[in-house]
Amino acid sequence: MAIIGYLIRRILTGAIVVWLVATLAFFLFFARPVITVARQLAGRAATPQVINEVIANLGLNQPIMTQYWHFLDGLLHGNLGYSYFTQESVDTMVKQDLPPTASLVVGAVILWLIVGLTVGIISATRARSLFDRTSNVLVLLGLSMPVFVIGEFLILVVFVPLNQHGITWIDTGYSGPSQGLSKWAGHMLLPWITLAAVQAAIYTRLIRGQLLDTLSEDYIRTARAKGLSERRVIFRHGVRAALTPVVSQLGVDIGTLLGGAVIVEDVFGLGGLGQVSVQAVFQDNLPVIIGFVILASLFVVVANIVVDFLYASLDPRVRIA
Amino acid sequence: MSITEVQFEAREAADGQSIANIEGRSQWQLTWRRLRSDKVSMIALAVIIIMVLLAITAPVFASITHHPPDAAFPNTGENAVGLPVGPFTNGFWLGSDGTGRDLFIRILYGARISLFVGVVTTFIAACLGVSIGLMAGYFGGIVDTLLARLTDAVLAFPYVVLAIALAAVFGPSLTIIMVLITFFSWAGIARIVRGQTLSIKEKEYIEAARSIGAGPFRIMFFDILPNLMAPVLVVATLYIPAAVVFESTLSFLSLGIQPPTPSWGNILAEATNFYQTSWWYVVFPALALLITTLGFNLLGDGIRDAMDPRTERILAARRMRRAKNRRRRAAGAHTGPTKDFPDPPRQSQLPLA
Amino acid sequence: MADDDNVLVRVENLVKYFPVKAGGFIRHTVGQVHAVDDVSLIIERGKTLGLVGETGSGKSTLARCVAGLIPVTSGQVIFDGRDITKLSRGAMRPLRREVQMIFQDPYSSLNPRRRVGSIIGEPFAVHGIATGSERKRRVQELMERVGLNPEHYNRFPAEFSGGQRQRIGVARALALRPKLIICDEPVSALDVSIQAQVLNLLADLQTEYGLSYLFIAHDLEVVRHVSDKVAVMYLGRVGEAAPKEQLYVTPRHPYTVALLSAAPAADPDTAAARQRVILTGDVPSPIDPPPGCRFHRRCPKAQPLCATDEPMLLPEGVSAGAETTAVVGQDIHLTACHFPVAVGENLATARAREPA
Repeated sequence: MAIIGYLIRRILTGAIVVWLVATLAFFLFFARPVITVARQLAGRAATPQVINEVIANLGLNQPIMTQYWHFLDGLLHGNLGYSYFTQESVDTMVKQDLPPTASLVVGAVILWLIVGLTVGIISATRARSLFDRTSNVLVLLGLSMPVFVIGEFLILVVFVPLNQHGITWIDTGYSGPSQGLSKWAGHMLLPWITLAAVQAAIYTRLIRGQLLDTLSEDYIRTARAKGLSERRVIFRHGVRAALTPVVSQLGVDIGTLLGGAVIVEDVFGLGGLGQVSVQAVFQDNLPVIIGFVILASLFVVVANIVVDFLYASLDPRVRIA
Repeated sequence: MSITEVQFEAREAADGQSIANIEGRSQWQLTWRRLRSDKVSMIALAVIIIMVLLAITAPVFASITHHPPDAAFPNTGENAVGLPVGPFTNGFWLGSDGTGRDLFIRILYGARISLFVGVVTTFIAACLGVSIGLMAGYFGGIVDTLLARLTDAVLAFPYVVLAIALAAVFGPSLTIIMVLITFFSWAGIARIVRGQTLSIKEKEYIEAARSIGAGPFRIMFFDILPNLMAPVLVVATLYIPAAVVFESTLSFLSLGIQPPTPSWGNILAEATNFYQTSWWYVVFPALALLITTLGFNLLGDGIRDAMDPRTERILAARRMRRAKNRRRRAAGAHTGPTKDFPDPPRQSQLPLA
Repeated sequence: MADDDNVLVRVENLVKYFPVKAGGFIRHTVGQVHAVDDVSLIIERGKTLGLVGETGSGKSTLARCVAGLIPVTSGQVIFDGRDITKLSRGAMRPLRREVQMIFQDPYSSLNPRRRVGSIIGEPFAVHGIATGSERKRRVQELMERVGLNPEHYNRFPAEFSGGQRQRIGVARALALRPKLIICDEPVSALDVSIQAQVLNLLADLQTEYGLSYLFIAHDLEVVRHVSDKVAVMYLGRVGEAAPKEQLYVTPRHPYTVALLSAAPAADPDTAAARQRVILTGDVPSPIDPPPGCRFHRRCPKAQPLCATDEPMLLPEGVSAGAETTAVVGQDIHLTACHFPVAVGENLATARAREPA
């Protein structure tokens, strides 16, 4: 029962955080001279006529608190605003641009968890072997490289040569799974590796360290003495204990994940939410940015709650805290 | 985590006094000695120093080559079809970039920005993080809960999103980046400091200080802080490359340093258009970035291992094993690793390489 | 009232409870640890009150209450005429010069990152008394007085042995010429031969500076060596208190008798001749002390009355229910027991009439 209480607390806190972010974003953007705001809302290419239209439509001349109430009201009804620059509502844009981001994020997480866990476990159980030393070096390299460098490197070294030899399976840009799984994978493979690389390095190191510490604990020695097979010892006892810091690290990494996604989308031209938002900065397209900020914080909060829930089910002590 | 190890046996003379002329070594001296014997860390340190020197002397190089960082040289800097020239052509040491500017000089000036941002933001973040972490850990209660929540919130928040938002409102600039990076760095440091403070606070010598009448700030500054410097130093050394990467990422996305001011990030952004024709445009800035971050990471790991007294035993054991192997090899025996039962040491006992 | 001029510290009805919290969503208090449960005592100027008890008896907590390091739940600590339990932190500061503490663990009571000179000199710095070379001179004087080489001013604690570290602690406590030094098991962590040195040092300092000591220990022989008066604590209350020799020669509380019988004797013949009083039963929890006498569940002399009526601390010959002004720390032998041990009674063969 304690876990339900814990969950409720987290959801409440999460809701407050999202509300705080939305409020801060609102005041950050809207608490400025009306013309500036209007111009940014209308987009760089707007004519004075459009700007006036914007002022009228969005009631920018009203007192700020009234605008705030409208804003909150719209949010609760799922209305994120209208992008004058591209002449479509933000909701539509979100629906269009979410799939690439989602494919990227989900695929990358799975990839880095698998790689991180596998390499980490093998390194820990074969400490100081050649495999371990090599993976240590690779991990260090992975940790030191910014995501965009890895992306560009992969393009330079994989995409360009392949392209020059006529192999077009690996491609930049995005193509959804509905248009053919193989094509989708071909577009997503390099982006997945790019986003996963740094994180895999972090997790490999984390798991290796935790597992090494755990395996030298006395209760592991007891398990071996009992005659359990090595595999059982490692997985049942060792990995279980080593997983908790991994899960907590996951929570912190949600933020990094989003940041990385934006970069990878930019490098590979995937046209997802991240890339669109960055472009919006240069188009002075404020509604898109606001929508993205709110969505991002919502995602972070939800993901954190899920992670916390996972953590609480792994480690019973947390529920009492 | 007592790291004051003395590397000698204090012999007691007949009247119970230690021999007066042996001076004890402080924690820092011991750490430095261990660090000095770690080749990898020394190389990393050397690399960093070279990088810093190059950055400082960038104007000197600019005048030697007669290529200021922002100046374009369309005649010498571009080939017949308007593409960049390669390394060692026409007086461009590492080649030129898309508009005919000297790549090497631009990389050097980019180093100035990156190193400046990296060090300054980490320093400010460390000061902030230590103060806040100390107070949260020492005072506990509401202060701690609030600060802990705040720290968690900052740590979980995606920085890119905030960067986008701020850039949209204020326009990209160096100040914004530095504020942003500092804002996200202090939280990690504060969290570590808070944890350490919580455990140090329970030690008896803190109670002793209170019994003398020392106030909270005195205790925090004179008693707790010296015990924190070790982990803070390690964390700071590891945060510098993170800040450098942060800055270059933002510049890459054009949310940071704007051209024509060179930053490794925006050079690499420009380079994306030329990767098929001018490999040097991508490789050299990337290498500079990589070497710098790798250097700081290795140094940070090295410092962390040097501060751990357990490393001493591992190094000693290693020396003994090497000597033993030498003897055995001379006698003709096999000296490879034996594989009957894996004996995993603690992760922190394995310094890199 | 005894000679009030002679009384340095008067503790009246001191109570200290620690709350036990539980609960997932809303933390609430589910119980209290009765660390110190109504203790009164006095400490005379220039004298030593020894406080003995097993772990969990509350002696360390009592010490910290007297030192003003933790707030009391109720009761008063009157130091030199002033009630220190009501003072704010700012008002407490000048008082810190008069009351100092020496701690048990020489390895953790000194900051490993600070040099010894800085540690000993800190009291001067905190109270703004001496600076610079004057401070150094006074610190070195102190070092010499406690038996350390003043040239070691700049060394780190790690370079000293346990006994020497404890001397550093003594020097630090002595710096401001306090009136009272509370010694919380200062020699428990030391080798026996070193213990004697430190105890002798403490005795010398008492004579030289007229110090009063509250000396806490669990080792009876050590307490016998240093104290003028001794009090025995059990589960937050004082069971027996007397001038030293009376307690050791004619103990009256069954717990004291059991403790004394368990102390190792150096002479093997004496040891063989002695009969051990074995206490049965488990140590009760301080969260839920048993009704009546706290010791009754383990007492070999327990009777049905002991389970219901808590005995008061009374002098010999005074019947229960009588008013008395006698207090722990005076020259009077006080016992809190309905059936104190008589002279010559052999407790080893006693059988309780109350099932445990």
